[in-house]
Amino acid sequence: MKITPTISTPAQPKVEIAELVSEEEVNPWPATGLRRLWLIGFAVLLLAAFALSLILGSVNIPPGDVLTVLLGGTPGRSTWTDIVLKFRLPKALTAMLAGAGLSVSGLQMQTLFSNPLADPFVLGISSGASLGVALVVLSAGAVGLSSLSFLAGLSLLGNIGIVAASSLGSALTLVLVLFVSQRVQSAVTLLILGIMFGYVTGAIVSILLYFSLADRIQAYVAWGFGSFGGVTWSQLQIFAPVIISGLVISYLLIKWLNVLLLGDNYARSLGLELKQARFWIVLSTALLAGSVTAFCGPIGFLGIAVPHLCRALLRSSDHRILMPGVILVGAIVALLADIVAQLPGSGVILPINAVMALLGAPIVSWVILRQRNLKAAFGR
Amino acid sequence: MSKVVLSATNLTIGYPRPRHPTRIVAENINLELRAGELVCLLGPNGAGKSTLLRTLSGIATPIAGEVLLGGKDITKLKPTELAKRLGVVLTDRVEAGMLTGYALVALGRHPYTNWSGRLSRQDEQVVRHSIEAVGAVHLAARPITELSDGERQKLMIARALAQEPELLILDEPTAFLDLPRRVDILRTLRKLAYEAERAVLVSTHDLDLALRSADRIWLLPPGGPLTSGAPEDLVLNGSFQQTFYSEGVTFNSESGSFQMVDNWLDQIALVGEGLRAIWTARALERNGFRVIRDKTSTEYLVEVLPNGFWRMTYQEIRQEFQSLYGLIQHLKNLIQL
Amino acid sequence: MRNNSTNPRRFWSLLLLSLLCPTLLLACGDPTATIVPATSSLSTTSATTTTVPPTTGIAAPTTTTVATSTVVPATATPIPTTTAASSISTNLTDGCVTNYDPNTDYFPQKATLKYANGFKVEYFKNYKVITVLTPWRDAKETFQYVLVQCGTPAPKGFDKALSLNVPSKSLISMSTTYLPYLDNLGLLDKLVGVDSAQYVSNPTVKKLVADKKVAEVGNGAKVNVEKVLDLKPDLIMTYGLGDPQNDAHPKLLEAGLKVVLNGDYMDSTPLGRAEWGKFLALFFNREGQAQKQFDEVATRYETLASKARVATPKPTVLANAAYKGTWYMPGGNSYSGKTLVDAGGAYYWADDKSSGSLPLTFEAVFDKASQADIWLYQDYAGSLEDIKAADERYSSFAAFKNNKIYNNDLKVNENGGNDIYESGVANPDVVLADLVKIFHPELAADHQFVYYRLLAPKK
Repeated sequence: MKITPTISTPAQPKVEIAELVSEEEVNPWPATGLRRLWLIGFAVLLLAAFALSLILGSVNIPPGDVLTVLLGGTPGRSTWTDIVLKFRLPKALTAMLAGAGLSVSGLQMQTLFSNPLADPFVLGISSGASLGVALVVLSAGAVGLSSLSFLAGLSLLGNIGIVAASSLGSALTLVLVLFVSQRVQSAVTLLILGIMFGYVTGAIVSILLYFSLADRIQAYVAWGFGSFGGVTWSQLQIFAPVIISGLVISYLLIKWLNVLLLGDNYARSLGLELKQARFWIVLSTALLAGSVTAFCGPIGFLGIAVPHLCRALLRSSDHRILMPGVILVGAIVALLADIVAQLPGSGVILPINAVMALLGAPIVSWVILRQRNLKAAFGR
Repeated sequence: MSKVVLSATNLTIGYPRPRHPTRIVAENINLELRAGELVCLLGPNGAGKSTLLRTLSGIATPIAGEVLLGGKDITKLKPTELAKRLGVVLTDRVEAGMLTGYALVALGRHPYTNWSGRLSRQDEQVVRHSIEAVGAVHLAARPITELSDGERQKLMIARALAQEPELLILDEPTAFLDLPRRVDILRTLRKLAYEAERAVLVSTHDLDLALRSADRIWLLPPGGPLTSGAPEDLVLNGSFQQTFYSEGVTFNSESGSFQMVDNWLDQIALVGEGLRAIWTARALERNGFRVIRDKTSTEYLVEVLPNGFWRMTYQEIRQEFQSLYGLIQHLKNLIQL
Repeated sequence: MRNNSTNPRRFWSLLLLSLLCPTLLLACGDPTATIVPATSSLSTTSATTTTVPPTTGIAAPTTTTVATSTVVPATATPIPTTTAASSISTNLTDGCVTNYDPNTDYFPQKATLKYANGFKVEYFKNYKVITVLTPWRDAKETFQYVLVQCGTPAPKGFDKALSLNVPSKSLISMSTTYLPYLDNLGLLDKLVGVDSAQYVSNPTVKKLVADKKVAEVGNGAKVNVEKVLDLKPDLIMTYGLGDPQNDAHPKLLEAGLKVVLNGDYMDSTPLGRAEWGKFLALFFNREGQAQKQFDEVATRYETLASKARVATPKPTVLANAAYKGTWYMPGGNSYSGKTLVDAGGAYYWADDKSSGSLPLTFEAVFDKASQADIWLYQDYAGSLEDIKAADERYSSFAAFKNNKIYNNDLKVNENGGNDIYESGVANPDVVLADLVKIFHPELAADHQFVYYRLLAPKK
């Protein structure tokens, strides 16, 4: 049904709207309304943060030497080559990927559930991962006759075992959540079920901890601190492709996410197949959040805060700009938090979760409070 | 006769309930919606208007019978296909976040755009035309969080328009709006129906406005059956009164509105002409007095004086008043004696 | 449109208030405790922390020494010398006194402490007073125990202390570190309960548990109080963490049982920790025997250490491993760190003053110690391949390339309980010998590894 280009409101002259050129003269129409320039700014900031994370660290390496190493030369001290290439570079890449992945999942969850408090772990993904890790870490040492010896064998492999267990936990949670999401009508129901699942797994982990030996508890707690430094190049060969595919899927979902802003009913009336949309959103979220948790431990804050930060800075809820924005800002925040956690020059390291929250929360709060209209921060 | 956009044949509507038999709301509905027509769906609360709308827009499945949109069974249409033919405006509160009015309306192009939602030149044109058609150009650049409910409602209608549908279905679009805004919306809808040869179906509680603007009215009393006709036809054949009478409210065919009063206190004779007489009669009726012409059948007499005053005579006692308010107060005192 | 200002003053004052309240509560309440026990003195590695001190020692004839007491109790003065009106020649290790003589020194064999600084003991004619000074990290309280010779009257003036009769006839041990001492002193028949047999290495104890002669009562906050009451022990010895949520002793004390806190894990020197065997012995009047056993251990330790400390060349030593980017390195003043220095290793962090673990970055450790001669891995690993699989960056370490990685899991029971944390605590000389064999093999040529082994490539 074509719309005829005439306005028939009384006392208004008839205006032919045939060409865009003439419209420019009387232009009430906004451009795209998207602040694309900010994205460029973010990209620059990201490069700067990346460079900084290579230069700063617990060992003092002069920036010139860092560059030398990157270009393939020999630095002042032989250990520095290994430090830059085997420690700092993979850590920086991990931080960027993790930051981007978690922020994107958080954005998707907030849109899917129309809830500003949603984060990537609202569907119980982190809980599933924690349970997997708890089963492995807390049963460690029980080799031989113990029925959990398979898991203990996993823990013998240290890092790899934990990654495998965490991935398994996330994957099983994902399957469960997808299954439920196809059968449940309202998004709120799905949300509540996810939270309940989180409670159940949390309870099981508590029981496991209760019966564990102190050092195993310590190992589990240490996992819970989260860290980017544990991911080696060989692990990156799995981590990076997984995160990138998750990001690609999320990017393809931009249109669906935008239409979901109107709510489930309107989205459906505009032609969106709700079940299919939910499937892909949950899948990409679980892929991103699950793999970050598997390789880096549970990392909070980013998933919930970065989308809000971007919405406030970019003044838009349109995913066409939020998606790239969140990817860039997520990477930046993760890198900066990691730099600070390293306490450059001191040789000591702080848990990343604590640093992120301590630095990030006040900043995000300040940005959001500066909004004239608080409701605008989430359209409420 | 213009073409039939939507038709329902032997339609039975209802909804399933867990562990209970399906609740049937209305049975054997047959109706047609034609291009260029504005149809208002009226009925008391709980009669099933929402269920009917949901069935007609393909959200709910018919218990029996079928709904055809453009000749095709609506339940068999793919969602994108359906979205290009039917636009709905619901009562849902939209919290879409920080979007401009333009971006909100642009979402209506969802069935037409590519994977990223990018708007082609043609898409942009349609969006702009839709905004103009509802008279919301001044809202396009503003963030929707700053807009009032009425303004947002207009944009939602524009969004539905941007789908370039042949049928628009609106569920109580005038709820929460003030009178001028309500008039505005209905006027816009009429225009949208006529000028673009589009079918528009509106469910509303605004009886007065519906009677004045609809081409056809669908009356749905609780339990059915659905009667359809021009508004005036339905008043003259008594369908209107019947539908609403059961609720304990009386529809006054002469005035075209509902009576506030059921039991008359007494009769009163009125002498006077013109506008002042009309409004005096309304004031008297509002207070429970039935206005008659015959002075002899009642003890009360009100005269509308040419000098702008009123005179009230009761049992030889006469008094003059400067305002209707004063007159009424006096009348009330008399009654109490 | 809403009013722009959300009244900033109110906002800030509310924020400040909400931050102050919990802080005040925390400051006034109990010191926060964590589930994780203090990593410092418990763990020498990032791997296991069995919080139980083992004891092993050989029975020895009694020796009399002068009591070292520094705190003077209110009412009485301790006996300065062994001169007494009438005397017995050994402590009464069995039974009670039938004819009490107030002039007799019932403890002719006294314990003297040379290395342990976590507790003190003072002797009186018929009772001893033990004060545990550091029951746990940052403890704000000390614990006092009055051990009264059975059959003699209890002294007055010790209302705050826990009083019990000695020698005790039955004991529940809540840590595996006490078991070796019991074994060496021949006191295993007094054992009626342990917290858990899962990580015990001592074969006799394991058999006693299997034969149901010794019960398992659960540890920490999970202790089964009813079961303990049923066993009617004279004495329960446990460690404390200072965390009421996870400690066993508050519940047991409340039930009226005689619970004694053993602070051996807080001692950061190998010999100091081993000397806590005397603490245990005091409750059974066997301090004479314990004294002799300890002296032998100490002598062996000191002899070997004095040679090792000056031996050259000193190999550079690295300890533990990284976990998720953090490397918990033993501090210079920690139990583990001191042992490394005593064994003659050049430990990179020997100058560090902390007695706990240092959370270092992997990067910093790599920079400083990647060329270490010897690496004491001290975590779960079967073979060299496992180390590489855990983190491929380990293969850049010199010790990996030269096959000089050792692990301390040679003596581990079927449930993962490592004997180095049981008998190793009572026998620091053996642990030292292992390490000396690694660092200066010529000084320990006749010694066979007991706790440590060289990691070999997987076959």
